[in-house]
Amino acid sequence: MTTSPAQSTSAQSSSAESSAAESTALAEAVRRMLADRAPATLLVREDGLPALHQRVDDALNHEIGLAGLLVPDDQGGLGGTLLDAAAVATELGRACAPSDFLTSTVLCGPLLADVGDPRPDAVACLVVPWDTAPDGPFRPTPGLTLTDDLLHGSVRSVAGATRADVLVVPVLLAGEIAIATLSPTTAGVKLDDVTSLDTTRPLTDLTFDASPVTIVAGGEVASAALASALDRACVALAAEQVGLASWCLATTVAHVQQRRQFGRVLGSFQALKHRLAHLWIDVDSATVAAQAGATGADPDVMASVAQSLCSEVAVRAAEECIQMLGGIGMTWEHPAHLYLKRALVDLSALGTPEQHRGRLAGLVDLPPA
Amino acid sequence: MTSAADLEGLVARLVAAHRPASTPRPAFLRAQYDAGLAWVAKPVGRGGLGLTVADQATVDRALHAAGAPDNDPAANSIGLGMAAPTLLRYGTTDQVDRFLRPLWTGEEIWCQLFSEPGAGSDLANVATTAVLDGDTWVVDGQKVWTSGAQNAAFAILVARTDPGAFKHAGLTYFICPMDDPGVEVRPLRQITGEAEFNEVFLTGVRIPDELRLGAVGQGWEVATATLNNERVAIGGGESRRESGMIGVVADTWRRHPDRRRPVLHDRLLRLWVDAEVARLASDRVRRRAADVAPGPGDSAAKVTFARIAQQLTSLEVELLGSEGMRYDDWTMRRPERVSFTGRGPGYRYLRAKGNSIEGGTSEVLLNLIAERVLGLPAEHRPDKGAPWNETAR
Repeated sequence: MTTSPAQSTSAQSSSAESSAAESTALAEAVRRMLADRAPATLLVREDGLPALHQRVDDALNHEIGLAGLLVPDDQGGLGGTLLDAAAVATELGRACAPSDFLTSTVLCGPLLADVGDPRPDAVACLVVPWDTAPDGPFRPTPGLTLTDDLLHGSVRSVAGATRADVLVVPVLLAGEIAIATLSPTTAGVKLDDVTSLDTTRPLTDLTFDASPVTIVAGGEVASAALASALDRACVALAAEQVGLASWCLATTVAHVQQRRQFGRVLGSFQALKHRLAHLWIDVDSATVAAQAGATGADPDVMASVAQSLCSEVAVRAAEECIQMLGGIGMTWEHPAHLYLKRALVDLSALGTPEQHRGRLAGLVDLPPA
Repeated sequence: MTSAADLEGLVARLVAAHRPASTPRPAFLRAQYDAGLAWVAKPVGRGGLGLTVADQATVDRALHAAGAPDNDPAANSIGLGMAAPTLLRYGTTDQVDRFLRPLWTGEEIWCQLFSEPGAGSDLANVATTAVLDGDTWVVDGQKVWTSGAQNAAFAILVARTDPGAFKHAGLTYFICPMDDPGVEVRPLRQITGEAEFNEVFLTGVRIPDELRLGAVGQGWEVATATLNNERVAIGGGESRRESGMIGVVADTWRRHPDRRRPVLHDRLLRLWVDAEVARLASDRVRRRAADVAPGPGDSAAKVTFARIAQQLTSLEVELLGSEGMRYDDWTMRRPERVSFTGRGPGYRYLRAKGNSIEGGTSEVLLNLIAERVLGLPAEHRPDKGAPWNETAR
């Protein structure tokens, strides 16, 4: 038997390496596209946001070709991995770009594939409040009722609905969870744009008044598809938060390296150096957590680990950025406020950190008081 | 291609030739080293096979299954974690041949003679001198925070060989025989009641020039490499979920339903998440440390480890209420090996205080990250760029 150091890597780790390399190449392509199409100067012009949103998603889906990324090949998708999706989400977070990538490509696209109704090219939206957390059996929005395949009721604060061409609605059917689909142009469907705190991810209130729906799945299939969709979205959101936090850290470091007061650059004050070093450690931890979630191992635990940690790191990074930028961070002209608003809203998106820790308590046997 | 089966085959051959039940422990360990199964990530001929750290797990499982003894790594952590990588990087062939095998087998324990009363965080300020007398260095000075000195056969030593040179340029790194009559070891009792550390007084200690590690004046560079390994060793020691302090405190939580309170619960879960992510991060450091020299970024793992240990141990004492008011034993002892998670909650709390001091304080590590990773300006340093014997100390 011979042992050759050069050949000692196992097949598993070399495939993990090549997939990591693919994710890196993908991230670079997305980063270049965003620098070109969605620079911060455009982001702060709120009147142009819907057009920017469309431009970003057209480029993502058709130029880079990510439509149906997580839908399996045999269902007409690209059969990509959650690591690929996390790499893209990180870049979207870094640019704070408006996009349906998270809500449609990551969350809803593969959900429809899981229930046997794949629509890899559609913009799909899961009609639930954006603060819906994955924890235990999925409960449909209260007041939403289905009578003779006609949907009644309303759902507030839904993300990813403005440009959707298919709405995916969890409903109760004979006491069991079921998944209904309909087009937003169906009779009785009303979409009201909300004035959102995070203007880069607009929220919508939806009302259904006897809107005809198609039931695409029920029972165990529907529950399982919803559970894994939410866990997947938690990981992608965590990856987005890593990108957001990285931008905030880099922007702050760049600022304190050139801004002078008291005859010194700000970055030479140890009070700021230590805060930034702590922030770097936190962003690094968040990166590890999101990456671990994206490998797909232990999905429910890792989704909540990543979501609880990355949400808080993103908010802290954005808050530190605003503070250390000083007055410029309080202006509308500088994009830092958009990052803070997204970080703050996404603290609650897909569940608050405290909800995720509460969920972990059950998953890892640390029972509450 | 080295498969798990290949490695298991190597272990089987070793175990067949040296039956663990009938072979004396040192003899078995020497054979294991010679077979390259001591630390497979190290080079061939140096106890390894040039494989990856991950392959070691396969070997260790097979050895454990065969009832093989281990080299009791906790008893020689300085040797294994710090002296060995430094020897491999800077040692001459003769030095590595002489020292590495008995170091690994634990037949020769190592300690570290770096810190001094006047050189803590500012390690480059060491005042212990080494003066060449023919082909022998004569060493005089005082060292402190030396764990295991009473058991050690050798020490890694940093001493000043040129007091007129710039602070960092006047240092040289040595292997110091601890049986020299000029070496005096006194226990240093600490906050926990025990004396895990020593003060070491060096008076006219004679070190032959062939025990110099690296060039004269290269001591700072060699010591920095050693310390980076120390940070990895202190910050990156866990691999199983809930191993280490989080496991101890999680168990305390599970065993005391009556003591559970909602605020403590959220604090515990927060720390559980932090510990899990720190574990995954240190796996990453460990995987990388096999082939890449540790860098300043790895200091983050140590800062995080210290914070989590301190917050967890404080939570545990609070959780236990009146039970947390007791201490197991204040008797002065000199422990052979240190476990941060050993003994009672009071001990764990007190010992964890050292985690943010030993091997580089958290504050120094934060400076390091700010300057070397983030590229922020260095602290004002009046001592830099001046001859050591002319700086204020």
